[in-house]
Amino acid sequence: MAALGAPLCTLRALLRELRHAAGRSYRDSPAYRYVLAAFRAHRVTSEKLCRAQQELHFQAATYLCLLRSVREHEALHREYHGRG
Amino acid sequence: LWARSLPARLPRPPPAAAGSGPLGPCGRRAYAPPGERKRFYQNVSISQGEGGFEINLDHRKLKTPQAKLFTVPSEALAIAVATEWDSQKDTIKFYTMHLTTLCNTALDNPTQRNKTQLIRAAVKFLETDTICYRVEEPPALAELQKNEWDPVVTWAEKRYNVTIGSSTSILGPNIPASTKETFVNHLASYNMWALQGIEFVITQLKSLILSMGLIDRHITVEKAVLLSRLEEEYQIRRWGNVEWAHDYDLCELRARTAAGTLFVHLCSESSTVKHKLLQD
Repeated sequence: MAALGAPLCTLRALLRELRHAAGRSYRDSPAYRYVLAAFRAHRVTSEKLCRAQQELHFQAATYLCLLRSVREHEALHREYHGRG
Repeated sequence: LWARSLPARLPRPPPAAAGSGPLGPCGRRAYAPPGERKRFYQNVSISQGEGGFEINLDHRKLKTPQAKLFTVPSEALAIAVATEWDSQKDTIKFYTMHLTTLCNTALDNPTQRNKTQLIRAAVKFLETDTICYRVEEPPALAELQKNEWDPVVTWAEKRYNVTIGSSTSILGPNIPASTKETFVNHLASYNMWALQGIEFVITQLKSLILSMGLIDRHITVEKAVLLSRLEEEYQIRRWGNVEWAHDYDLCELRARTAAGTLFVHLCSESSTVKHKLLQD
């Protein structure tokens, strides 16, 4: 199983990226609501994480990586490869 | 050695499958994007049609570059695509919209490949798999490759009950036919959409094994990308980082790999999970 860290950290970082992407109305955005709903539905009720929780956590971490990398890539593109 | 650390040219052009425009027909135009375009819509929303989930830009339905209706089988994927469109500011930067690109490729299949051909292309990569190709010089790099790549090869061999190995020969490792067959059979269990995603990830990472590590959730995207770029990372640590080249390539590879991985998982997720979430 991949080394992912605490699900809560991933969730918080992911929500932060979504806020950045969506702007002012981020709380109403489908992605924000979906991610929150998914994490609530798979809330940790026992010490042992079930397979579905692990899958969700991995998906969230992957999506976080996507959003973060796109943002960083765009910033670098603007800084070094943009036109004027 | 500096030359090796710098890119030979400016950043790659946008991916070929991004589409020349979301709404109109593309006629005889090549399957290539304009790069950027002004944002022409206010609201992005999702709706459920007969074929799956659709994306609406204001009142217009999103179409693929080949003018097919843009429909995806997974609600989560539709939401992620809608988020890509909604996060565009003044201009639409198609080269950042990796999930949209992947969906367009799955819907249009511009290279006209069937499942068998896709699987064959994917498994063929095993013969030139990055993590099976080892150097002998410099010793520090050889050691790094051994320490970082051996565990993943071992994991794959155990997980799939195959022999892979590694090689310092220019011809690469000798992959037994039975190993290839195992992977062919395994990949056959994925649907066409997921396979497009898998093949995409493999071409990005230049490694079938690293891609399977991702698909099987054995390693994270960040780790997979690091392992794929091991030699570059080694050179960067020795000779220094060039932000506008190295970080640029790193972020782009991470973004594409993450998109591909997410795409595969969302296209092959179980219906029970989907049903439970849709109940909210």
